[in-house]
Amino acid sequence: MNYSELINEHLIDLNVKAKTKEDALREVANIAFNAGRVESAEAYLNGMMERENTSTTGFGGRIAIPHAKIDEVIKPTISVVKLEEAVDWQAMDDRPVQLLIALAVPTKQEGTVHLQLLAKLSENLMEDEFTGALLSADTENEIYQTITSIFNE
Amino acid sequence: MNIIAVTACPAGVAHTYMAKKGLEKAAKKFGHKIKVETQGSMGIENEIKTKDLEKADLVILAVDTKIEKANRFDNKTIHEVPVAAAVKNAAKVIEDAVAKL
Repeated sequence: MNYSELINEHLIDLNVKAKTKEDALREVANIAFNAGRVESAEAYLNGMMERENTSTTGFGGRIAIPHAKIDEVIKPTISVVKLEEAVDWQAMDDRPVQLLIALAVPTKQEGTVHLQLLAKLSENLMEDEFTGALLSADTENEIYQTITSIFNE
Repeated sequence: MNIIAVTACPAGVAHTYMAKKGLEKAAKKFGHKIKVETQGSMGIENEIKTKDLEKADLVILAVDTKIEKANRFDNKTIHEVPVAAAVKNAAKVIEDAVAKL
């Protein structure tokens, strides 16, 4: 399949300035909105914040996986944001978060192909080799290649 | 040891699958066999069947939501934790579960 349906380089930004979790998530929401993936940046932001308020998505190792499952998502989307300075995320290991792997999922999803890929991405985030490659990537293309490589396995 | 587990989180998008991977890796490290059922956005996957239950020594539920078919585990030793626990430190979850036997 064509993975640009899920992620492309317009959905990756490695130079984002944010002072707080909410600032960072607002950037994520704007990127998804500007790329035509969600109908409303605000709805996506609110969805992610609501999820964060349930329990942190900062699973440790300086990475978080903020996500929202809402009606306003046009296409299932993965976006990646690297923060110029890490921000507090109340993460499971208490370390500030530098890299966000954000997911947007429509409430009504037809078919499971995309959901399976998101599940695969989530599973891979438990592998140090994969997270290490994401954290050390310097270019949008490296991030894109690293993520899509797991879909080909 | 034979372990069966169920993972589930509210959105069923990310942590359900991270917890599954965490438990599988930790079980392997300890030399335990594990089968992890996910109850996520795609419904029940890798479903735990009667034959899995018969040989299971214990059940780990790493869940933040009410799961389906919970009555399957009525006669088993159950160790229930938040899904985050299996993401953060699955090895400890398994150690604690085994200590319950």
